[in-house]
Amino acid sequence: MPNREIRLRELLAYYGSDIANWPETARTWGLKALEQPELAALVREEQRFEQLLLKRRVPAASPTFAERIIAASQIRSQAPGFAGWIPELLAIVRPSALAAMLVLGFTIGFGMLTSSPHGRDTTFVQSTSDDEGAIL
Amino acid sequence: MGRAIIRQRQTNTKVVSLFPQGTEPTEENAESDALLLEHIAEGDHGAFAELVRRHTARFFRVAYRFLGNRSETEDIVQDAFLKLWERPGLWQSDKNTAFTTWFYRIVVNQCLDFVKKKRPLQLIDDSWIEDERQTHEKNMLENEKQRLLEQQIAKLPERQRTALNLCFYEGLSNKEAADVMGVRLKALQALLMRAKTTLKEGLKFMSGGTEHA
Repeated sequence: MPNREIRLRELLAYYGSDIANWPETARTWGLKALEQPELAALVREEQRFEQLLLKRRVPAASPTFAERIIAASQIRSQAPGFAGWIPELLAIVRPSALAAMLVLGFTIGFGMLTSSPHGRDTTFVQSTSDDEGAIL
Repeated sequence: MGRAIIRQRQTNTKVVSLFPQGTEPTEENAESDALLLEHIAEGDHGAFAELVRRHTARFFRVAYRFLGNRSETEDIVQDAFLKLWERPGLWQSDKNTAFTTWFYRIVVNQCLDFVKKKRPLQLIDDSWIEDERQTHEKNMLENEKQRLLEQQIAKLPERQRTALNLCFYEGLSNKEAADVMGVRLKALQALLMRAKTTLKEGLKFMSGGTEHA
């Protein structure tokens, strides 16, 4: 296969049969190649192939589809998930204040835990057991 | 002759373009998309609605070409837009990429993930073609050709199919398609070459029919 034919086949595959839309250097070369009948025939062959590919059709999106997406986004806006809740909290409370609150909470919680002789409130556990026994 | 080719292609594009809502990518659109995205980042729901109305048809079209099923296509496209609404920070305007290029990447990747996870064998939902057949019986042959074409395209390796969808059907430049797919320009061109060569071979009998028609 001559080099010019190979080159033209490559360019047709990359850019399609519409030579006027090719990048400039390739376009100049391609338009000149059209002067040769055997190369012009290759372009016509590519055109026929593209017409065949264009038989592939896609159904139109439903006219209400865009509005459904918009409505779904509104629902999500009204009910932000966990990921949306954190930035909102940070916007209200300063991060340093939030960190201080967390440290304080841990300190108090840990203090209560260690103040109990068995590490937990046994009275509460006992009374729960009693309740269960009564039901049974 | 070159001009004749252009006219023919433009006419053909109109035949395929059944999507009045879709807008073609232009620099002006890209600029206003970026502006809308800035507003979306500030929580402007109107800007989000405008972006969705502007691009839904285009992304429905591209996703359908991968999935071949209306409801799955709608799920994927809706999910992609909702992710953008919930996490507008995903879009970074400073990366110098047009919104459409970036969003093509999102939608195409979601389609490919979906096909891999849920549906290893792609089955084209052609019920809408059947409807058409009932009303236009003379189109039976054309519908059959379309079905065969879909089968041949579905047989292509995933990356070749993606390259064909983006460059030929969506009209992206080689460079844009390479960006969407995250491959080098030469690699994209090699994929296109292989896809078209395989299809030409597979559709030989059909192109013969077209010539004589």
